[in-house]
Amino acid sequence: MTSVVLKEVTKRFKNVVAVDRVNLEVRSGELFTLLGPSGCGKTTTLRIIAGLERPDSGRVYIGGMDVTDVPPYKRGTSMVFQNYALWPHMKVFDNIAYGLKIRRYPKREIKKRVRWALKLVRLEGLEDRYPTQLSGGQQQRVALARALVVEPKVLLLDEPLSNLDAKLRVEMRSELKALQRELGITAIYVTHDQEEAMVLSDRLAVMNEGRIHQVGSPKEVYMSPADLFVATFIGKYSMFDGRVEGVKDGYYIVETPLGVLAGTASEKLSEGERVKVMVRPEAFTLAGEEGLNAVKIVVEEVDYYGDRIEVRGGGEGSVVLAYLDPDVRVERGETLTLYFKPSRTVILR
Amino acid sequence: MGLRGRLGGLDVTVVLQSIFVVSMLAFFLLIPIFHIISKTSPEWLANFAKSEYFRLPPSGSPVRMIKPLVGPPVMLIEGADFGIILNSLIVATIVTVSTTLIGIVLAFIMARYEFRGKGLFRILLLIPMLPTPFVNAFVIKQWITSEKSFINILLRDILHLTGFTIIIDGLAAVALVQTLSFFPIVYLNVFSALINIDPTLEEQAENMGAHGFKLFRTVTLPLALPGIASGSTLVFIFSLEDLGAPIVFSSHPLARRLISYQVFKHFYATVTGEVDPRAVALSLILLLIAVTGFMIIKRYVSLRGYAMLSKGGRWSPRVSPLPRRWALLVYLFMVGLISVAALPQIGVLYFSFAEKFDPMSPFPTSYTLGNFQKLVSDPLTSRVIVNSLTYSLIAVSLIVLMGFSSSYLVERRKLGPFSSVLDALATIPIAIPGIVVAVGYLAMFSNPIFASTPLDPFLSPWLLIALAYSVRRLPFGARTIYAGLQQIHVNLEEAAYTVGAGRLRTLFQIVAPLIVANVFSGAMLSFVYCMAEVSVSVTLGGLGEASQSQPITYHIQNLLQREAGAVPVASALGAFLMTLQIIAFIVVTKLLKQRVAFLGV
Repeated sequence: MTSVVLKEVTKRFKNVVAVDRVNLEVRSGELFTLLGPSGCGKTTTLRIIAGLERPDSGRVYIGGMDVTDVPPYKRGTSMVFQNYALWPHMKVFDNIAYGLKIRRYPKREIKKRVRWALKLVRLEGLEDRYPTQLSGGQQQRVALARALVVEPKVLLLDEPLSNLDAKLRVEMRSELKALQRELGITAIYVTHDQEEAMVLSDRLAVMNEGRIHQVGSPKEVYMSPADLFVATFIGKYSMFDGRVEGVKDGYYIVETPLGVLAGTASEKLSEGERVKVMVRPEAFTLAGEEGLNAVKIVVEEVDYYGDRIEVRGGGEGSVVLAYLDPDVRVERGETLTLYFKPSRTVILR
Repeated sequence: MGLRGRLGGLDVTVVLQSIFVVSMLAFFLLIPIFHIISKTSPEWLANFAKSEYFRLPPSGSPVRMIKPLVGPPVMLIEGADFGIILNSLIVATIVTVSTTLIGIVLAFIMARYEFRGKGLFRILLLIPMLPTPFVNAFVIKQWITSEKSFINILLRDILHLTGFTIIIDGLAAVALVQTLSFFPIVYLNVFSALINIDPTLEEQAENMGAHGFKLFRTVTLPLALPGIASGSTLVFIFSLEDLGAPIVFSSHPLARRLISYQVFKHFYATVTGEVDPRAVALSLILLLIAVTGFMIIKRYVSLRGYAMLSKGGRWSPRVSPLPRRWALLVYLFMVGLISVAALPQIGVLYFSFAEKFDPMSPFPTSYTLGNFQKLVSDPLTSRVIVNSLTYSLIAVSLIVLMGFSSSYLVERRKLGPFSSVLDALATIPIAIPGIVVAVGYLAMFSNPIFASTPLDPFLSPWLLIALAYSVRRLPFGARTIYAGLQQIHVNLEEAAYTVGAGRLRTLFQIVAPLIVANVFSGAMLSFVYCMAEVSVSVTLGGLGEASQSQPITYHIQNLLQREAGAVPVASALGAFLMTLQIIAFIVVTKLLKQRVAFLGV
């Protein structure tokens, strides 16, 4: 079983710091995602793990071994590229068998393993096709089979689904997850698609401008974002400006234009500090209870989604977005009081 | 950080490739050139201030009318003598400007207009590109230098367009021959630049109200500039170093007053002993002019790096039907240009069947197939063919190895400043005239330490010729390989690394098979260029014992200069070279499925 550890890894391209003192610990057998907007350094981080880029400073450990100076072909990591990178001069069989031939497996063993890999990705019978004769989804599976057949210690995936159409992407997503579970392999996945990251990952790291902002389970990252970037990059939200008044019942009390609100914070805040108060749209309810936060809004927009309605409204210079039960009747221009739990209220610096 | 880290993944493959390319180019290009610089005597440079080299105002007038005692008046077009150095510069400039104008007009017509017979013109335009060293100039000489020449028979006697006789000779004839043989270089470069311009850029300009010449001047021309510049640069340098035309017209004293001819002439005088100081000093001047011209144009183009040439032609280029009012003019231009420019090649073919000539007419009196038979049966002729084939095969093997290595290192390995050094090294040979290489070799390898080694030019120049070919033609061969590499996504290699393939294995099993068509095409083109190479062949080729090492072009030159009546065999050799080029062209077009820029010459 193999863990991957990055210690203080930094990589510059000319004057741009692509990866900035990144520390990371990917546990053995987990599917770990690097999530962030394009240009945030996630692909560079992945390529550093693969050995395709060399960090300017910092160390990389795979399975406890320092591999910083080990060339890519000796690391035991295999990679699925965004463009699949299938060799056009080789048939599907030869593409997949390539890594095994390098390892000098006997012919019969190679055949057996390639067949196993093809079965794994459900592509039996396509051995003799050339990559150009395959559909995008099939090419993607061949790339995956090629990476898996060599039994890598770590599987690296660089936006492998981004070239597929929306429906296929969702399908492949669950297949990929099932496959990873089945093989119990450590996998590191790079994507800019937050939904993909949430659904797939055991844990994920949110990156921006070369730095890791938060590492955690999808739920942790969604419910308790560590900072403003994570809160705004992942999921939808309502955000209010405020000032810390004090602490009560284990919650911070914040004075906002919409009233006094109670919430949690991941950092220690001091009295008088200017902060932001963030609430996820599904945290709002119409039923008021003692001890709940409440805001009063004038409804400006109501969108019907079938499984919910999205209500947008303003109050005191803030915009509020709430998901409500689709059966509720809400009209534009109506004044509405929305309630939410302090435990679902996040206070950010 | 260790050495490894600083050099970014240094490994055996990179080291070997680097050492190979750098040492080849150092020993067989840079060091010989440094020999020229170090052996140039200051006294000789002082001589260049004399009027023999710089003559202002010039002596003679470029065009003169003479009234002979009998017959019609004669218009003599010979050019004026500005001194050897200025003559070379002026001829090169005139040839560059005229080929550039012809090339741009031609490329624009062919790239942007649809008209009847365009396909045929496209094929006919390939004819002037076929290499026929010396013989082409010789054929043109038959058409223009005598009172009973082809143009006079046509214009004066048949069409009655001129009431006088036209004789073109000397520098004017050299410029004419060079213009006719070099304009396709500009044409091809500009043509490919034009069809690679993103049509939306022009459509956007039209959308904003630009059209016609304004559109051409403000958008199309600037975007095609890199293509124009690279074509013009090549022509400028080719013209400077050209020996074919000056040697063929050397019966006229003005044609001898060019740097290239002077180096050639004095290169010969040096064979017996020490290197002639005049040849060395003139080589240095030639080198300086060529490199300066190259740098100026290169800098100018790179400053205008915005000119975007996208890879491949995914869009359909803008082609419109030829406007009616232009049609007549365009056809006249095309037919006129092609028939004049293809004359040498047609003449070569025609003369290759000639048996006997009437001394009073440019046309043969009887015909035979025997000239081609002589290519095999005549011992010296078959010997030079075998020589050239051998040299070219050695050179091509070296070009493929060097071209592949340098392209791969430059395009794939981020070796920092070393990449740019390597790139520059592999490009420099374009800017270095062939005779400069030849003089440099003689200056360096005539040193007694090389005596009796395979590098001794006086023992036999075979190895030096092959090496000179490979170094000179490297940029052209490397170009197709580089283009192939650029089309292969680097992920294809990285995918191999991540499943465990090492550098060398990836190079041979992933990269090489993917660009094999490009490598082969580059090899074919280089091979043809080597076979038709002139400057090194006619200089170094004359060294060694008992003319055992002469290549084809040396022999053609010899036949035309020394032996009367040897024209048909020389023409048959020219036809042989043309055939090779046609085969190469067909194979390469089939392999790469696209029109490859033929750099010609």
